[in-house]
Parts: sequence; C-alpha cells; structure tokens
Amino acid sequence: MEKSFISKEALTGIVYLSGNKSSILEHFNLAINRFGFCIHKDQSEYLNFSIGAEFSKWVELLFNFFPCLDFLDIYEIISNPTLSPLINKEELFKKYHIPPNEKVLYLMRESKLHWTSETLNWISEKKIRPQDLLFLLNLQIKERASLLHSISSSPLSKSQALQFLEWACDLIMLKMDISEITENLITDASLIKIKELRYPKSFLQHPLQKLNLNWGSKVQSQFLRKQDRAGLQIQFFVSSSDELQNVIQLLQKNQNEWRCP
Amino acid sequence: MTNPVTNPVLNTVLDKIYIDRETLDSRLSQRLISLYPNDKIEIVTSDFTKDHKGNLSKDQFEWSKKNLFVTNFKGYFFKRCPGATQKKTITCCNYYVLNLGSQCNFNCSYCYLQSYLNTPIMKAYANIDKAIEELRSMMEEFPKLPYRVGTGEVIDSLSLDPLTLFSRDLIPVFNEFPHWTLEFKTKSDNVDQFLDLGPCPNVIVSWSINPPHIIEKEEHSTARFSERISAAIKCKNKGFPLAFHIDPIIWHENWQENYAFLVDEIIKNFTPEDIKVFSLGTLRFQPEQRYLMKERFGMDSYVNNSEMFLSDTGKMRYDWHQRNEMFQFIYKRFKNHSPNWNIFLCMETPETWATSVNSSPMSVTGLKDFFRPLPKIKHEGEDSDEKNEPTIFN
Repeated sequence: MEKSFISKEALTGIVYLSGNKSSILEHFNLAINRFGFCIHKDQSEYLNFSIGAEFSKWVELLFNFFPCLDFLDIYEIISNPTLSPLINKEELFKKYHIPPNEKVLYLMRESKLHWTSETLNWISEKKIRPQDLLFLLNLQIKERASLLHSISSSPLSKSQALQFLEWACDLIMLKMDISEITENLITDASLIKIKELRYPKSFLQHPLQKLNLNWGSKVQSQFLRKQDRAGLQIQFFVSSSDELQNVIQLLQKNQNEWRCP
Repeated sequence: MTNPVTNPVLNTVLDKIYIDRETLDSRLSQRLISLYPNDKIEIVTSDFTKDHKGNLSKDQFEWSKKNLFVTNFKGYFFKRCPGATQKKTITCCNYYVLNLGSQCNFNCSYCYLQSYLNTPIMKAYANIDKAIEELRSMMEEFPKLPYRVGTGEVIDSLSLDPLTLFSRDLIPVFNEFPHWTLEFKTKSDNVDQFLDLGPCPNVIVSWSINPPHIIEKEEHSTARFSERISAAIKCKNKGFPLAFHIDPIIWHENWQENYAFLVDEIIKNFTPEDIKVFSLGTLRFQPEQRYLMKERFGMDSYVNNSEMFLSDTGKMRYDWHQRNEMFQFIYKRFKNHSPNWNIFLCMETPETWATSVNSSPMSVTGLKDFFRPLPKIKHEGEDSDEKNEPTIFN
C-alpha cells in the first residue's frame, strides 16, 4: 500500500504555527497528539510510530520538529516530570550532540538556577552548547554567572565570545582583576585587551609581523592567522604581461630580502 | 633479581589492587597476591567499574592513578598507533601498539589520557597470553617485515613492569623474530627486571625525556632526569638499543638553555650508534582537555600558560613558527655534534618536516623503514577496544 503521511515539514509547520518556541513542551505535546492522530487515520507506517512506542522514536520525532534545540530546552525536557520518563535521555543528548556527562548536567541545572535571562537568551541565540562552556567550571558559581551575564550583551560573534570567556576565565584563575573590561560593553577592543592581558609576551610578537618589506602599490600584503599558522596573504591584480613581470620582480626582491627575526 | 615491592615508590603509588575474579588464576594476579598484603588486595567481579558513568572528574582521575584493576582485555590488543589514522594531515611513522593496560601511575600535566580515558581505574590485563597469540600470528605471517611495536600508548611501558613482568613475557617472543622491533617507552627507571635477558638488538628501551626543570614542574611522580639517564646507561651496557623521545617539547622562558642542557647530556652519555630512534614532538593536546588540565594543575603549569592554537589535526599546538624554532634548535644542536644522529618529528605536518629539518622522512636513510607502508593488520579499522562513549544515563 502506498504510504500516506504528512511530511516532516508539514508537521513541523503545525507545531510552529501554533505559537512561538517559548512554550516548547506545550507544542510538542500538541504535535504528538496530532501526529498520533494522523498516523492512526492514514494507517501509515511512517516512523512506525504510536504513542508510547519505543523511546528512541520520541527523540526522533522531537528532533524532526525541533532540529535546533539549545541545551536549555533539552534541560526543560529532561526535567519535565511528564516527558522525562518517555524520553531516552542518552538518545536525546546524542541527537543534539551534547555529551551526556555529569559536568554538562551540572551546567544545565545551574543555568536554570543562577543565570540571568539575558544570559539564557544569549545562549539560545548564539546556539552555545554546554560543552563550549565547560572551562567555566573552574570558576565559582557567582563568577561564572557574572561573566556570562557580561558577555550576553556583547556584539561579539559566538567564537569571539567564547574566546573572550576562556581568556577571562584564565585571568580570573590567575587572580587578575578584569572588572574594568567586563563591567563595560564587551567589544572587539575588549577582546584585544583581554588577549594582551592573557598573553602579554606573545601578543603581537609574531616574527612575520616584524618583517620590513615594501610591497609597492600593486601588491597587498596582510598578516593573517589560520589556526596554528600565521602568515602573509599576498594579493595582486594585473592586466598585462608587463604588469605581471613587475609583480614577479617585486616578489623576487622581497623573497631575497625576507629576513625573519 | 631484586624484589620490586621493596621499591618504596611502588608501595606508595598503589593504594589498592582490585583483582577480577575471572583472572584469579592468572600469573599476574597470583604474583600481586603474593607480593602485597591482604588489605591492599580486593577480589571483585568483572563489571567492577560498571557504575562509573561519564568523563572523569579531577578527583576520579587522581583516584584512578592510585588504584589498579587486574582484568582480562576483551578486544584486540594489537593495533596501529592513532597517528596513522591522521595520515592526511600528519606524517606518521608506521607504529603499532600493544596495549597491556590503561592509565598511568605517573602524573604529567599534559598527558593526553586526560581526554582519552573514560575508565575510572588503572588497568593491567592479565590475559597477556592472548596478546602474545595475536602478535605471534602477525609475526608468523610477516616475519621479514620491519614492524615496530610499542607497549606505551595508553600506559607507561615500564612503570608497573616490576609488578607485571610483562617485559619478560614479550622479549623472548621478539627474539624469535629479529625483523620485528619491540619498544618499551617509559618515564620510569624500572629496567632491572629484564636486564638479564639482554643483549636484545630488536628490543628498544626508550625514554620520553625533558630537561630537569620540565620534569620537576610538569612530569609529577616520574623518574628524575638523572635517574632516566642512569637507567638508559644500564640498558646500553646490557645490549639493549635505546631511543629518546624529546616529547613534548614545552615552551618556557628559558627553553633554549634547558633544552641545550638536555641535548648536551645525551651527547655526553651516548653516541648516535647507541640511540636507534630519536623523535621530537612539541606540546599538543585535545581542546577539551584544557579544562581538566587547568583544574588539575592550575595556571602556573607551563602547559596552561602558553598560547596554543587549534591545528588542522584538531589538536591545540604552539604556533607553527614557534614549533619550527624549537625543532630547529634541538635538531641543529645534535647535528652540529654529529650528522649521524637519527632524528624524526613525531605527529608533525609535511610542511614542518620541510621547514624544520629540511627533508622528508622517506629521504633520510635511517628513517626510510619507519615510514615505509606495511600491510594492514587483520582487524584494522574495527572498533577493537572497550572504550565507550561516556554516559550518565544507562
């Protein structure tokens, strides 16, 4: 018999049409009721699902509806007395790429109890995973909550913000006072400042930055870091063989004068 | 041979020995029972550690270093070194490993086991006969190929050897297959228990070594620099080839002075002919390990203090220029003394090889065999050990 089922997208639509994501559990229940009903009506074997079926199916279903849950949502699900017994938590964590360990659970619990709503919104918006924040466990609860609150209003990208948090955490562990930085809006400038404090000796001391080469007007050179390698990105634009010849001569000259300290 | 338990270090290191009931008749269990007082021994079931869930906390990790579980290993003992699985990004030396236990009673700040192990206790495997059977089957199939096998991947090869005496089981097997090489890699000075089996030209005793200052600061509970050198001299005198691994090279304020001292001490005590293998590697670790390292060793530790960058291999490393500078410094100091020192870089990229030592491993006469491709072992690629995803829910 040809399968007759409502597509995942349509079901997801049912859920999202019902309201916003803030009442996720309500929507999930609604979705499950409707989904269960549709399956029964169409005698579909889609997902071979029925209410109360294998736990992993519930996780699968949840994931179909909400592929991007953050860890605060996950904690809401596993701490909900009705849903919790139905969900295979190991499957759930695996599905959402969260390592199922005590430290992660600890952070989840703490987020509910101690973190500000601004922090929780920031985590949700930036799709921060609990494993991204494990290094903060080296701080006291209050220090951690305060640092996270500071970053929550920052315009920094996710990776910049996490880098800021890690260096800030290191400095707090080194007993350095960074309140002057964290009490103000954390910006690109704050990131540079905190890096200078964290690595005063290595900061801006890469040998390539001390190269004294003249690239002329046709060639642009920029110092860049790509992971563990730093280097010069060299770009040029030519329209003729003569121009190319000139650039090659310039590159040759700079290669000969390349003296890295 | 001296009774190893008279060694006070061993007495203080192990708080307790848990013996899996299934291994009670094994040579290892019987030996431990005969050596230790009753209150140090507890007989347990095979699933003794099953209640442990998830990654190890600081306290659990430290407990795991002081307690030994003697059990049988259920998977394949004989495997390729993990470096071989990253051939797209690093240049690997075709190393094979025979894991006869896991975890280590030493406590190095940078140890990769901090992000690798999930089991909450140090293990020694009682079924070494099965390991030897696996090994022998490969040896008989490829007796003329230059396989190199090490026992120090997830446990120090010799730190517990006065207790386990695994060295005495393995050496005679390698004596039968002279093209195969066995390497004991250690930070201990425990060599007395097998010296009477020498000379053994295909059994390399190797030391992971660092300058005294780094050993003092980062390699806790290990043998001191002079103790390692003395043990190496003993092995040399009994006809065991040696290897040194200056790995991990750790950047610190006076690194040049300290690594110069290390190189000079080796040159003073050994000739290039004594040292079969010399490898260099700089500090590297999995990013997720940073948190535990900081928790366990604080911010004073050099490994937590240096600026590290995520590399192509997914590990944190020093800046590439910094690595090259350190490699070149050590490499040149050896080569200035004699061009005969055989030095290679461990787990490094082809670019670093080219820049640091101006060559590729296949172009160095003494190294060709290390990097020559060898036939795959039968179960290669299969998930062979008992390492599970850590979980707190099942």
